[in-house]
Amino acid sequence: MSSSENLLHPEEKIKAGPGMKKIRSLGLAGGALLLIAGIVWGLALGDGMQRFFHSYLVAFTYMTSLALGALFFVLIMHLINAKWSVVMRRVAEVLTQTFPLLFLMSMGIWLPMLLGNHNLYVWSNHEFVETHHLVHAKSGYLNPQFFAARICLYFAVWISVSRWFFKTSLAQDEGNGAELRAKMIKMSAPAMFAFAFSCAFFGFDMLMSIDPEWFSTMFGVIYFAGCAISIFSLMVLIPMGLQRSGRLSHSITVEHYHDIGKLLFAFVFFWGYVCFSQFMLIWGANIPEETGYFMKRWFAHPDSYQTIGEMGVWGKVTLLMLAVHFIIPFVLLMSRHTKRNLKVLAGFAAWMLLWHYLDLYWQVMPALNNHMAVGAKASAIFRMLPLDVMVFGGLGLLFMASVANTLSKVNLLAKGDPGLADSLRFENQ
Amino acid sequence: MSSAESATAAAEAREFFKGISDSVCGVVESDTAPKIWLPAFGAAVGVLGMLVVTLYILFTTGVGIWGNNNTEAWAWPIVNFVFWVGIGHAGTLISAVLFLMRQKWRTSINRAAEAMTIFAVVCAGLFPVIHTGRPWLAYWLLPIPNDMAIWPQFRSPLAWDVFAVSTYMTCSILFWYMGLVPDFATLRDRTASKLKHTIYGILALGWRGSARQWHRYERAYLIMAALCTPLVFSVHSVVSFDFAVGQLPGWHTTIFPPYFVAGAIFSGFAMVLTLMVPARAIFNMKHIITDLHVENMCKVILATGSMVGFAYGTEFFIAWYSGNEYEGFTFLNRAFGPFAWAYWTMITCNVIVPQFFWFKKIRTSPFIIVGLCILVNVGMWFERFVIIVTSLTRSFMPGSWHYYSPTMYDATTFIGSFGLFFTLFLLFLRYMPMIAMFEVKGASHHAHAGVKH
Amino acid sequence: MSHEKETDQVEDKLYGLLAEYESPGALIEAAKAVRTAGYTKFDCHSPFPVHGIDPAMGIKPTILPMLTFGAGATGLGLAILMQTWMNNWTYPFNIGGKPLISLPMQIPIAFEVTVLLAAFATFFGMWGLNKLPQVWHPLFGNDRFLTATSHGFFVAIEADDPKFDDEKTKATLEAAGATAIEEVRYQTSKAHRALPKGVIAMIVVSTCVALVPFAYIYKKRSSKSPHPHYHINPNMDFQAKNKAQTASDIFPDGRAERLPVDGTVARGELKADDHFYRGLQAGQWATEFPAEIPMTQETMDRGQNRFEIYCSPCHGLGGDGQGMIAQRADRVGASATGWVAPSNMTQASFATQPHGQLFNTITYGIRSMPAYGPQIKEADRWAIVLYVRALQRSANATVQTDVPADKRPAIR
Repeated sequence: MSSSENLLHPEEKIKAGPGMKKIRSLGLAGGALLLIAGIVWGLALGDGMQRFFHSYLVAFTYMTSLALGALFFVLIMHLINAKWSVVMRRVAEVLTQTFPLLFLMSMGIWLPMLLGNHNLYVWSNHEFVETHHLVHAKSGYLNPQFFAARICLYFAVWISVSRWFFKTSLAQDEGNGAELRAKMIKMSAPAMFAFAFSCAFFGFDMLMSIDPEWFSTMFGVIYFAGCAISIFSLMVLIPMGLQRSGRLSHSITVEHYHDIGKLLFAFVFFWGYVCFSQFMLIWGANIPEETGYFMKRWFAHPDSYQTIGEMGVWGKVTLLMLAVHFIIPFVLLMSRHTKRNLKVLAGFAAWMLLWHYLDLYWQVMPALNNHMAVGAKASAIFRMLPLDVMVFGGLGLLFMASVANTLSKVNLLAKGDPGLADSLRFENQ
Repeated sequence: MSSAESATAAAEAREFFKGISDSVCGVVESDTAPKIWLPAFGAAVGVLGMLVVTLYILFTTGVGIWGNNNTEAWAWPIVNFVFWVGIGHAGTLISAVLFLMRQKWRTSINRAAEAMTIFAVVCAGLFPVIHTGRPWLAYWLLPIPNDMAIWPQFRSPLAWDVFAVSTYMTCSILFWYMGLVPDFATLRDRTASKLKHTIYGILALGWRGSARQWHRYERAYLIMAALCTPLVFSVHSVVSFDFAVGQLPGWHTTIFPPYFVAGAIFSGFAMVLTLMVPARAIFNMKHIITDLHVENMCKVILATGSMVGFAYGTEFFIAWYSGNEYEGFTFLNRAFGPFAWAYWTMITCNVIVPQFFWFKKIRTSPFIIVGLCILVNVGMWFERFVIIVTSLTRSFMPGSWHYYSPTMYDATTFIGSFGLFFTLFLLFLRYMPMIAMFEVKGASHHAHAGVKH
Repeated sequence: MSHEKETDQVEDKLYGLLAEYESPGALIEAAKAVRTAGYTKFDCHSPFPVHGIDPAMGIKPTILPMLTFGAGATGLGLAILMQTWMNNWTYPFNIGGKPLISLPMQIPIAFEVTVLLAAFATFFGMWGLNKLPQVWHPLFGNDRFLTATSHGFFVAIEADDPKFDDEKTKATLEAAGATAIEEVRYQTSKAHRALPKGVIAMIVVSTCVALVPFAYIYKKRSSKSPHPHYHINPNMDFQAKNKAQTASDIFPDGRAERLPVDGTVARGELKADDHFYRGLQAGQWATEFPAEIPMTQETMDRGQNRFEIYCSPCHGLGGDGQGMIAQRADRVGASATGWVAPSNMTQASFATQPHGQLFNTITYGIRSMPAYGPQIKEADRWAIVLYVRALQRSANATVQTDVPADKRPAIR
């Protein structure tokens, strides 16, 4: 049909195999099972599902960050008119098609709240608000109804933007590539605008408000940095997985992975930069309204000034985060050789996805009373960790099923895009 | 490709390369400058003279000649400092960040943008030094062993500033000079004058375009770009720390570092366009700095302007959300207090003006572009003014509240710094290759002439 | 002489062959051909880096990134060390209660120094590895080569190459599509290789000029002059303000220093308690210790400690007026010059003085004895009074009145 199809290697397979459908069914069944097991476990803990909801929040914001990252990938590549990434774009587009599922998942957060369960966000509890002046002052923003409305609005934006880009990109496969590409480039700018606002406020609403008396203007940017890290990790792992099953094996080369590796490196640095800025400014100014956040994440007894010097479990987690989420990947990804060695790069991608979970965990869990968090007592680990694994596994498998479902239906490569030729030829200097 | 075709392609390529050398070197080699250059240079030197006179009065009288006082210890001098540092950032961004992102269109403007960086940093560095009151002791800012056995206070962001700005200055000069060397070699090999041959010969360090040398050169260029990228982020972040590490409402907010960086890029690109749109018309460089390049820069301004607007919004929202009454007051005071006029100037110029760049028509009309870009720079100056002055004039102690008014000398110092900037920039345009010839050649499709795939 | 002339003969040497190619692509092909033919000492020249020439010529990756990394790591370590050393060890200073080693606040400078050193290593390392700057090169003598920095593409094979053979090499270059081939020759002699006279003259002149300021300073330092020093930089040294102990026209009494307004009391200096501060009770010398002074062993020890520091040099450790200074004054006959010997405080006349009077004497001094009020705090003065009381009692003690009956046999 189009000339670009001839560009592909004659033996290139750009349709997913029957295995994809199997993954979908397995993911669906396994995810549902694990989630139900998680709910049962959460009920068994006997804390009014408080621990379960916190675990759920971590898993949910994690999955959303993957999809948001993918949306960012699609938008930014259009925005800067990048051609090298065309061979990988479809994978990101497919990932953005998980937003409807994620919206269903988000109901797990705001529906119980509307129905009167206040175990996740203290500000949703009327009694708490009445007794806490600062929270009362912002109750015009932080209240269950407005919160739910905002979450629905964010998802409405994401679903419509991602669907439009997905559909237009699919239409490219049928022809008219150049014109549709121009259209997408044009749309990417306002879409990026909407993305930036919604992503930052999603971070404020979902994660920052867990500690409603604390605030930081940087917070939305930090959540965005996490989204970017997770997508560039996924953009290594998913195409590699497809290539292992014999798909796209001629189109995506080490050159593309090298570039993704560079972006991963850049955003690891960016994450470190924004986290450091937030920490250093709060530590330096030492204003009590703000330092509470870090005291909870460092000291064993953040509320008791007599024993303030004692570092707690969360302090160790903080140091661990510094090492595994920043220093190690930063130093090792600096080298060209690690980025061009696909096995090492894949290892780092998986590594970053793992620690991205810890990042969100670190943001959410210390807000809980310490006795409910892992690590306060050694025995708590055996009660809490399985719950985290089940909830994360449940949502993760459902997410995977959704991705596999979309992958099984479409071409794995935007074969109609006029940038394809450049992308296939792409070489790093 | 047939041999005849390849021969034509090769001839075309050579013609193109020679054309680039001719048009870029032609400016430097020509005995007469374009008509407008001399009056412009004269005007710039005149304004520079005003700066020199002001500085003389400043040094002999003291900083009391400015509007600075106990309430606003940091007034115009620091506003100007942040303004100029910000301008400088676009140069590094164009030369380093866009290089790493393989944006080939950068090659036409990166040399001029880098020069702009250096001159802007010179202007920026001037202000903290003269603001110390005793500039001849400015070396005390550096950790130099001394008989008083005192050392700088490294827990102060002002000490970080010294390191950040001087590192930035040094690295910018190294990067700029490194890029100039092959072009100096071109000038050296083209000139017939013995004196010019000697001068350019010394500047070119004996460069002869050997592939073995190019190999290391390219690697070094890439590394320098990779070093300058985080550096440019760090510099304006450190500048933002000057404010944000403190506890003053309106200064202490965690988004300051990236927000300052975005603002710096925003104002810097506006400055590049303000300079390069007229320069390309005067020096006949429209075939090298094309409309597409100008359009791309307009888009960058639009993007960074929106980021800045986003940060304004976030700041305002969090000021309310924090529930901190001092924070809330500061922002209401900015928008509706005695300096509301400055605040709304800033909002208009920084958030609304760049939105015009959504339209292709505007992105392609040079006069409107220059006009809008000047407005953006006005807006960015006011941004720093709003941050510094409105926060200081309404601090925690109502007894020290005050309405700030600058003096004549504030104005002459600031305007005079433009004289310094334009004097240097005009000299650069006239006597140095304003376009990175080897990069333009290497980035064109002609660079692949005759290459077998 | 003839020997010298012989060695300074001008030699005409062959540097190698220079071949021009029409395009970057042709240059790559030529490089491949030359390399395949086994040449090692050859180089390609182009006005911009030609993509793909490195593998064609077999150029190995440079070690430059290692240099950069090493310098960056050095910078990081140095910066942390510098900040810790300066702010923690040599010049510790409490700023806002921050720890002396504030690691988060060291990071910005550590980062900047890392980048700075890495950039230096990259910049200077690149020129060093490229063996630049280089003043002269045989190729610069060739007119055709001038276009190599503008639009020409060249391959140069050196005559030093073991495989170099004029005809064969020419053939190789030609087969690779050269549009022109030239021999590059250069002339060399002792005079050619020596530093040009202009450069030597410049070095000599600039060295001389550079020495002038030092010579001037030396002359000024080693000679005397009735004129005041040069004051190049006023540096706020001369200010229109009154300094201590100077005259002023502003006030009728002509003094620059002013007394405080009558009745001025500095913070914490009210001292309303007559008993404690002045040793007076209802206008009379106090006969009791103030309530602030506890009658304890600690007060007594403190009194002894202060007494031995401030009083014993004159009054002696026992308070008998036989201190080191008193002994020496006796020996040198100081009484002839108006010296009043320190009192023996164990005399009965002193023992009967009220506490307040002793306190007052310590505060304001008497005869040759200076005032100790400014040196010894009130509470310590009272402690000294207490100790003096103990000295007096011990000096006038008798077995009957002061030794308990059961202890008397022990001292007999």
